[in-house]
Amino acid sequence: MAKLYVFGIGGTGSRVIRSLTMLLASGVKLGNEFDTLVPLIIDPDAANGDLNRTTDILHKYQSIYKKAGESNDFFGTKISTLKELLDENITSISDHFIFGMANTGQKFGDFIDYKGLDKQNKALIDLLFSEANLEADMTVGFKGNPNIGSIVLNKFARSNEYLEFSNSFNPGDGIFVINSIFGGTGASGFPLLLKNLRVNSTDMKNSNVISAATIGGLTYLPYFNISESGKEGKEIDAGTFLSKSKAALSYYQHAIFDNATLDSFYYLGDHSNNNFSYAEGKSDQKNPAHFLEMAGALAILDFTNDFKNVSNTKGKTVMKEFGIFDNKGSSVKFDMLGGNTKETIRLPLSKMTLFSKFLSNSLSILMKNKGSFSKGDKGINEKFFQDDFYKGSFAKFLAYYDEWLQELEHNDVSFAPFHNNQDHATLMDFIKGKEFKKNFSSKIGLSDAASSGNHIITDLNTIIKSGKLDEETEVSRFIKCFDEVLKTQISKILN
Amino acid sequence: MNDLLTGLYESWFDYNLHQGLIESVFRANDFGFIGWITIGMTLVCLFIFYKFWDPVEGQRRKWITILLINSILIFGISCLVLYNNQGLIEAMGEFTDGEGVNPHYFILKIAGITSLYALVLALIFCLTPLPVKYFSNDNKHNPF
Repeated sequence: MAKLYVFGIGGTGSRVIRSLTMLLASGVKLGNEFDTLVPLIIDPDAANGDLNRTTDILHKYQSIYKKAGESNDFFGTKISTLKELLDENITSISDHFIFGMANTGQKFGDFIDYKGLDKQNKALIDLLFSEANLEADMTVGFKGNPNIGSIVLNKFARSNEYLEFSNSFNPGDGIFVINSIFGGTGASGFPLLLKNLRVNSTDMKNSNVISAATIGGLTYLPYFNISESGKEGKEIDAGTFLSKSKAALSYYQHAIFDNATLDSFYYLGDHSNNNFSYAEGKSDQKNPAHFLEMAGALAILDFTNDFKNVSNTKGKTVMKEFGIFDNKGSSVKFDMLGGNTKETIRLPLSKMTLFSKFLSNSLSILMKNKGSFSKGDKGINEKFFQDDFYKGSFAKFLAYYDEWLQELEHNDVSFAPFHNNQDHATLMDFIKGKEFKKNFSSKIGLSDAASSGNHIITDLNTIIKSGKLDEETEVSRFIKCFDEVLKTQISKILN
Repeated sequence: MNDLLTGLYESWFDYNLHQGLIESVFRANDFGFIGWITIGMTLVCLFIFYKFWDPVEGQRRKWITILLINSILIFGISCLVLYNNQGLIEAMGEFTDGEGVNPHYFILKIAGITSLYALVLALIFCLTPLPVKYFSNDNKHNPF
């Protein structure tokens, strides 16, 4: 069994990890022998909205995984912090997926001790950095200035987290790095991280294993605009995104691809018209989920699926792109995705969405039902839905999932494979293009319509009545029961 | 069975006034026949409810509905059985106005009592998983 370390750099890194977590929660699995995901977010902006939302989602996922147990489709992949991989008593590293960045809560000029430099060095610094650069407050990141980031981030190999990452790394583990090329933190962090990973340092444990490890990278070309950028007083200018990308790609060509320091490289980008609100960082930087971020999560899955092939073709970087069928400006649905992508996400996302919709629309009916699920000794009683697990973790995770799905729908590109106006009677009609027709007996009220949520309740009762989950804990029973029932129901809808 | 059930009906009537009618029903074994019909019909109705209908929503309301349907059917069948009892018809003919007994009311009352017993019987059948709730998927705990 192997671990996949995913370094998410900057806000884009956080958002891709968010999408990956949603896919894993819905039942998508990492390929080959990867059974554990170790997300590591590198972002100097500790108050970044994207980062904090993602870490909260990851914690919720973990608490569900720990109680639900293994061998489930839902929440079936282990997500771990560095601390959990190692001795849990180590106090020097945090237990929250964030890669520690020391001394970033100050101005760049103070960070390099500009005032303490001699005349010659000051002149050199003045050549490389503008006065605005030196005055830049790094508390919120590098605000589109990779020249600052490349200095600051070069230090992260000395952090406790990096040491613990190194200690926990085993042969066969994989590394994947996510960054955006048109910003500050991501553009500068990726080459630096790669450089540090490939150094075989004798004073660092497992450095020889890490330097020879198979590493994949995902780089985002511009895929969104920022409103009000470039105006007076606004430090981030979306107008420079493309020129920055070109410059960075040119650097990647000779620094990374020519040396084949990366085994697999994924490009993603889009000419979309979506404008995100201007935000330099902190809690304001909380961009809505974008379809390309989910595509990024799929790139990570592709990397794990292709891991053995990539590992065996050392010496050249495998380049990959992602595409969909022409959506002609309309929202993207499952049928517009390529065959593999569709196979990978259609069933799991549909299951998770139905799970959420069922709990929103049909839970009260389920609780009133007098079958084995709600009223049996080995079922799930009403108290379960008031307990910490459900209210504190599960319901909140589902709220995050719904929010993610809504954001994907309302962004440009819009990913909208599901209807939003379900009630209990039309619950199963939620996949666009897969709606049921009413048969005669349901029209006259003799049987439940094929679209009714009652079919789920009946299947839940059947499983509990069979007694096959009697030995499970209540939480595990809850997850496993829905896992099986929703898989059956979705398969009926899709076929 | 006939002997057993006769006792359950007799106590609802003034025996001195209704002796002829009751004995006509008894002699034709109709108390026993109605009893078996009641048990059988109730089991069939409950089996249909728990096994085939097995509703997911409005379960208590639908359970009461099936019990009422069962009672109405049993009421009708009881009337049918009693009106086809030749001895009873003859006994009814011997009654004249002013004797304080309406023989048609007697038949309706017997049918009504049977319906009531059918309700009680259905409740007893629903107390335990067997004989009918066992077959249910969505109503194993309906009504208890």
